[in-house]
Order: sequence, then structure tokens, then C-alpha cells
Amino acid sequence: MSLHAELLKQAHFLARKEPKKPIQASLRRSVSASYYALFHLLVDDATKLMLSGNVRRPLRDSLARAFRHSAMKQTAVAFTRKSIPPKLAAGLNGQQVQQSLVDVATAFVQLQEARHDADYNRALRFTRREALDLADLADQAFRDWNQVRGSLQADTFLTGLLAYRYMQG
Amino acid sequence: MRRPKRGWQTDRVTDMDIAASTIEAALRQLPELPTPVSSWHVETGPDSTDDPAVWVWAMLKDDDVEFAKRSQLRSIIRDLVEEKTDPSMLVYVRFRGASEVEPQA
Repeated sequence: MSLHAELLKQAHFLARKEPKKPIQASLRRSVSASYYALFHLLVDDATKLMLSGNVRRPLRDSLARAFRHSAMKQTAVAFTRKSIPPKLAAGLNGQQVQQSLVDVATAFVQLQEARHDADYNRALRFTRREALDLADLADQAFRDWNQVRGSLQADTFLTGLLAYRYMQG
Repeated sequence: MRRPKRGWQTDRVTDMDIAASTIEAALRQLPELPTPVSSWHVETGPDSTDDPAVWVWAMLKDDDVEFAKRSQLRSIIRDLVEEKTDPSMLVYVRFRGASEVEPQA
């Protein structure tokens, strides 16, 4: 099983781990796993897009370390608003961004902020329903991604996730 | 911590609080939601990357609401907040079960 699939499974498991009164540690780790499931799904596909084949796996793993959460958010926010900046818009070749891709980008932004709260904001208390909803959101993002994976728009999105800040437009 | 106030702890009234109460009032007026909401909680402020943002917690009356309905509700909330504030504002929507929420002191 891939890392992203394992993380998604873990997110659901941790949200339900304590049958009666869930502990904050389980819920917070669940929320974090939901974000990282989607994060690693996208990073995995982005690096495979640039470096294919088993022989390049170590190189892909190195490239995966180059992704920055804040830069990824910047691209995702642009896709949620369907206002693609010129330096990325050229990659779309005039095609519209699919709703499924907008939904993936939206889920990414929501999950990233929730992950930040889960890991750093001790003033918040997460609930089971909240953690399960975020795991469902990641689940749906996986399904949405499957619908657009390999399209020109999806490849433009993946390129933006890695290199948006350094691209010329 | 960049956002010490977040966590449903209010100690003073600010412009952002007023905006939050305006949004909360507008949310309470929403008709015919995909699933009933027992109460709302809204906070405003910079998010983890310092973008201006609004957080909306919707306390769902039913414990087990299907994802499609939550998804519809999420969109309705986002559209309303963008209409009441600024389309550039990031809107974070979280759902809790009403039975999970402890009564506020």
C-alpha cells in the first residue's frame, strides 16, 4: 500500500480509535494524517510526472523534499478561485479547470489549515465528528483526483505545487 | 503562537469580532440548509500563512450526516462568507456534532 493510502486509512482509524471518549492526541493525529494523505498523493504524482520509472525512485524521493507547504497553498488557492496566474495559465492551453480539480485544491487548503491547528493550536479542541469530516474530505479529494489525474490541468496544478514561486510568467 | 485568541476565548471586542458576529448573524438567517445546524461559531484573523481568513464551525444537529450534504453545506457557507466579506478572504469550514459541544460558560 502506498504511503498516502496508508495515511488516509490511519486518519479514519485514529478518529474512531477510542470507542467512547476520543482523546485529543488521536483526533489531532487523525487530522494531520488526513492532510498528509493528500499532500503525499499529490507529491507522489508530481514527482512521477517529472521523473518516471523505478530506477529514478531515489531521485523522486529527493525531489519530494523540495515541496513547500506555503507555496503549495498559494497554487491551490489560485485553483480554488479558478483565477490561474498567467505563469501557470499558459500550461492550461486555454482549457477550463475541471470542478473536480477545484475540489481537490479546496480540500488541500482546508486540510492544510486544519493540520496546522491540529499540530500547533492548543487552544482548540477537536471533536470526533470534526476529524471524521476532514478524513472524508481527504477521501473525496482522492476520488476527485482520480478523475482529473493525467489531464493537462492536473499536470499544470502539480507543476505549480512545486515550482510556482520560481516560474516566470 | 501566531493566533493566541483562537480557541473560542473572547476577552475584548475588536473590529474582527464585529465582522465575526455579522457573519454569524447572516449564517443564522440561512434558509433550508441541506442538514440542520443547531448553532454556529465564527472567528476571524490571519491564518497559518498570514492570509486573512474566516473560520466557521457548524454544529450539526444530526450525528451522522452523509458527506454529500456536508459538502453542499460547506459550499453554501463559503459562498455566504465571501459575499459578506471579500472574495479574497479564505474561508475554513469545520463541522461538529451538536452532541459533542460542551455548553459555553
